[in-house]
Amino acid sequence: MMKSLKIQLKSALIEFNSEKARDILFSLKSKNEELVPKVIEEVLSEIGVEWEKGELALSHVYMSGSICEKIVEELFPQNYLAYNDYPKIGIVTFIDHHSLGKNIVLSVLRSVGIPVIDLGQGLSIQSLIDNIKKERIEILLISVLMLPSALKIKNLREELRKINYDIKILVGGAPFNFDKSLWKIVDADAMGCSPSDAVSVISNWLK
Amino acid sequence: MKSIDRVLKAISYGKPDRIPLVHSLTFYGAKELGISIEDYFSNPENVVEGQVLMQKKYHNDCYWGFYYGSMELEAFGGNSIFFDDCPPNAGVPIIKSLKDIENLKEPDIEECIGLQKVLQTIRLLKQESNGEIPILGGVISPFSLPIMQMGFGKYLDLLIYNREMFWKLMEINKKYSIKWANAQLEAGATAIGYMDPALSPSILNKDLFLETGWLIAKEVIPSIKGSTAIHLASGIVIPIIEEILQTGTQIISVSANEDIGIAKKLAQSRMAVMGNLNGIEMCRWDKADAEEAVKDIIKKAGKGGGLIISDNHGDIPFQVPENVLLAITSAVEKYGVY
Repeated sequence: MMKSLKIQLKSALIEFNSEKARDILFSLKSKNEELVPKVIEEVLSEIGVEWEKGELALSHVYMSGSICEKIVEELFPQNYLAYNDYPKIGIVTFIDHHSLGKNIVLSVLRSVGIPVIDLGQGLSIQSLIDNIKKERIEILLISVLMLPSALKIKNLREELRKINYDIKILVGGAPFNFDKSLWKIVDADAMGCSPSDAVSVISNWLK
Repeated sequence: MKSIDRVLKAISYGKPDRIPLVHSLTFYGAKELGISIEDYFSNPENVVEGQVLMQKKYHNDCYWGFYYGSMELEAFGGNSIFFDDCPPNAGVPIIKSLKDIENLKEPDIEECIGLQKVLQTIRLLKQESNGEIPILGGVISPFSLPIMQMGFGKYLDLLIYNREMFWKLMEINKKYSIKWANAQLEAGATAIGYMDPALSPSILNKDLFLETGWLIAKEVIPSIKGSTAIHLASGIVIPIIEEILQTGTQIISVSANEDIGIAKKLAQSRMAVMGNLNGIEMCRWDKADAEEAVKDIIKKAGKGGGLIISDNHGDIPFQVPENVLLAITSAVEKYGVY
């Protein structure tokens, strides 16, 4: 039953059929509420993997996350994001102003019930550190499109070390997908190849 | 052989003396002149000086008249955000609501200071080239312009959920893009780079591609009165290469994430391929890496013409050392001889 349901949901999402996706998830909630985030996570993960392989497009990834986020807001208007006791997670488009990647990851995480604070876009090292301290962020997700922005993550890490701020950093975006070792060079803790990787990496860190 | 003959011979699947090399040295010229990127693009004479110096240094088979993508947002009334070490980003989107599409006006090229600087640059480069070095102009495709005009996410929403307003926007963008491309050709550009990242299957699913961006490219490319190269800015092309052929373009970019040999085979002597050096990894290459990468492309796609060696994104990052660019040039001159 679960397998068939996931196939149906995935099919609805890649056809951008939000009504069909809504019906599937509303029906699932009426049967077993706790399965909703699990099913969404698995389906979005499959879509992410297929995008990485070049079998699906970014338009699929973006719309799937966006559709799921909106449905989840309807399904769980108040307390869905408080399901689990998560550390403080923040997400940012660092230095540059290309925010699509950040927004997709945000949608994916919110769809599966992981609360995230949107720290914005175009933030410099100092303004990001100020925000991290203010929000007491423990896990930072950084999205970039431009190579220099990616390289400056190393400077961000150094500045955070200077003030003894302990934080996990997950990075993603085009420069990392074109150079698979770049995340290590910039001293991140992990990289995501697709937006849904954020879910699995965070889950692993919380084990 | 002169660069112009080398390139023309290669794209017609003839055999020039060697494979042409097109380093995408756009804002990299600021590094060459030791000035800021904003200063570099503030004056056509700076760009011309940078292009001439870099062409000599790296034996580049072209001059770049193209400045940066967000200049075309400036033409629509938007702005660019400059950085010390990378191309300008588009500023705040100019389309915030559907009403803004209704009210959007096609820019008057004569009145856009930035576009006029580009035209002046092309005119000056034409004098410098003496007809021997191709001058590449560039236009952001009507289909990819809205990524800057309204933001990527909102654009995808429009494309999927409001086709009527999408086509209204395209009508304005198409008129502008055709005029802008042809103005550059009239000023002396040899060919136009049709920058269309949204067209790539990395970005857009095929159904949407066939219903939208492809139709636009098929209409706009033949209206550009000169040679064109469709550039997908690192995006993959192989799944749509047959459709790209039908646009009538002469050259297509190939991503570093795909096999340029397969792309060339699929192009079947009807379109040249350009690529596909990895401009990101290039930052930490040494001479041997550069040589290996060039040899690999030549092995896969060098035979029988139809190949231009270039990076896959269309912009060489500041962080790529000069000696790596020189090593690429040297490898092309050593191994790319026909």
